[in-house]
Amino acid sequence: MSPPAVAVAWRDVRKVFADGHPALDGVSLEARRGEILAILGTSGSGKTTLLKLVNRLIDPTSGEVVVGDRPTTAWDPIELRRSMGYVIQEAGLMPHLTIRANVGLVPKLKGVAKAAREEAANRCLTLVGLDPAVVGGRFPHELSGGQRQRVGVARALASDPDLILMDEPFGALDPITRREIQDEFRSLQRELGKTVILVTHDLREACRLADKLALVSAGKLIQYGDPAELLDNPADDFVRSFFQDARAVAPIGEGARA
Amino acid sequence: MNDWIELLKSQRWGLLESTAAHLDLVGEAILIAVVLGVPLGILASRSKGAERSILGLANVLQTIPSLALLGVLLIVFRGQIGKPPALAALVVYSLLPIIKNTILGLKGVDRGVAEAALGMGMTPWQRLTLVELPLAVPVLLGGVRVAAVASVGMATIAAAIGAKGLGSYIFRGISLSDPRLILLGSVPAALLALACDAALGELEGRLDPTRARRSRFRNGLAIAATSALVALGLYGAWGEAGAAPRSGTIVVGSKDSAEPVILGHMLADLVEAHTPLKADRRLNLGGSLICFNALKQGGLDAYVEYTGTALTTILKQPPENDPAKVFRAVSDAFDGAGITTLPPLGFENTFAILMRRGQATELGIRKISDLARHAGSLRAGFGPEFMNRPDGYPGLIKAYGIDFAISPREMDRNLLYQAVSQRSIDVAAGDSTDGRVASLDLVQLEDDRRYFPPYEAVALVRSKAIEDHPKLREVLSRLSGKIDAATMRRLNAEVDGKKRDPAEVAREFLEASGLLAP
Repeated sequence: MSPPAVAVAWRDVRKVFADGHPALDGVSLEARRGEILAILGTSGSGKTTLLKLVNRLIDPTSGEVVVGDRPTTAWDPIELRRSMGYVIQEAGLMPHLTIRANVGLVPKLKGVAKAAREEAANRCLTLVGLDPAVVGGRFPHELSGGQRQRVGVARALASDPDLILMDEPFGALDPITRREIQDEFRSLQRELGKTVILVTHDLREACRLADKLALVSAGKLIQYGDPAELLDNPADDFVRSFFQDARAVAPIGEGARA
Repeated sequence: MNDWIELLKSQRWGLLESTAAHLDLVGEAILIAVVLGVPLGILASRSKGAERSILGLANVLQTIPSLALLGVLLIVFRGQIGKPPALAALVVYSLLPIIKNTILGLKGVDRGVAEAALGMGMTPWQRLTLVELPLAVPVLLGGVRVAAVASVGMATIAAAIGAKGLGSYIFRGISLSDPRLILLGSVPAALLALACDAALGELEGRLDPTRARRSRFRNGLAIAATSALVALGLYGAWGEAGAAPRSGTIVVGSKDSAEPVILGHMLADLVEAHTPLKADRRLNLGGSLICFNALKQGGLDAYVEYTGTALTTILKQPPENDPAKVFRAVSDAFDGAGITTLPPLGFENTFAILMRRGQATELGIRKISDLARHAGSLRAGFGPEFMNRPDGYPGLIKAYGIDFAISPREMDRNLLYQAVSQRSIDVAAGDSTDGRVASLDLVQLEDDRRYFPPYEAVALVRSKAIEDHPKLREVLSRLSGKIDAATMRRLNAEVDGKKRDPAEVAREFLEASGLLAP
């Protein structure tokens, strides 16, 4: 029997923050196994909130988020987080640990022996195109921004999770490096068959990487589908204008950066 | 210059031991402050309310003046002198910078790093120990550094309550008016502060992974210097621990001027000459109440006090002019408190109102009553004890009807003699047996209305010590009746005027009087 096709499902999720600010208003969405789902939106649209619901950095006010076979609220948050990879902008590497120790951190939390986790770290560094013999013993500040971001991806892969969450992972990179890492990441994801949920405001990034696109605005899901579908058949004026704006700035920079 | 080399040579082991004891005191205090302060800082960083109350308390503690804090701690420690209250004082002052920097360091952790730690599934404890604390360490160490440097300075003051360290040189220097001794204590203290600053600064840099690596040579130098500091501190701790067995040791104290210090050495020498006991000399303690409380609580076994001071300052009774009556009142009251008063040493020491000989002659002042006529123009200075005790300043102006136009300056009583001699003030209250009266060419005005009660010097001994070592009573009583006022003035002048070592002066006298012979 094959595993269920849906890795993560948001079901009629509402989130109102303690200060009364409504971040999400009845969003239902699915991330399918082995695919990259890009959640696209402007800042303040609620896209990061959708992501943080998955690893329980935030709990929903109503509705539920199902990861695997049960809602997140039925998971132990620590166990839930350790079962998935998490990549954030600027990577969030521990400045006091070597690159190898950074990548081996999640396996260490899970109690993996030193030799085994160093091996995993070396393997993952190689996967993201870094030479563990060269960078393994260095500290994060001794690496370039692109290298650090690769290390961030390697760290997310280190305990071999099925699901990887990414929050604007390549946002802080220069356009050429960003493009390079995006392409590499795409082929790596194909090769490993991981499920990826990617939050971005960059339409080009979303189109380049994603199997499915979800466009959110003001806490609501506006449209969901293949990238081509959204481009050809925008659901409403907002989607149309979002795409037009993105096209207008595209020739100047690389995508729409806030 | 030769003088200096001689002094350094004679003091070299003492100086090394004092430096080690000093470093040990500071090191232990900082260790305790870190063990207390870091958890408090962590607690404070978790909630606004906790932060307010913890920082508030630490701030208040920090503002207590050091001498007041030492006084309070002496009461808290029930009169115990030496290391424990000194340690407590240093810990109290070290807490604030350590707590503050712990909070600062924890709050300074990069938000992305904190989010990554949370998102990768670290428990709160793992976040604290694997991420937040290691990242806070350089900032935290900055606080430790501030505390350590301040403590090196503070620890000198702790000599006032009998803590060993470089401060004892400074206090001895002040009480003996010997600037060489002051320098002998303060120069190493300053160097020690610089060394601690450099060592901790180096450590701070080393623990910050974002700083560039250092050269091999510099690493070696830093390790060698830090090891030397640690070794010296451990040597100090070992010395303290070695001195710990109290059963075979008699602790002799003294107040902080030449005369009590000389007499303290005499008591200690007698103990060591005639019994198998060791004498631990805790001389130059900061005043009658510190000495007396320590004696009562068992921190001291013996010291020399004056009956009049005992009557008025310790027993809080009105002054009395008959020496025999004073002695009886004091020894009866002390008997009940577990303190034995041995027969008087043979001389009286009373307050002496002093002026420069030249000025007194010029103005025709011979007696204290002559002062009243010139009170409009003369500047007076008195020690804090004299200003406040009933048989001091308040009674004096009443008895003689003196009305100083310029209100008297309050200053350390050991500085008064110099101050008169150097014309910063014209009138001061000193001790009648002080050697500086003669050496600085001061005159003692005649107490023509017999205002100052006579104070006889007596040795006070803890009764429990006599019970444990019955021979002590006879041994310490050997000094009774052996020192008259002229002798005492001469011995004081040796120390105050000729800047000789009080221990040497004491020993010379004992030998010449045959008191050390079996």
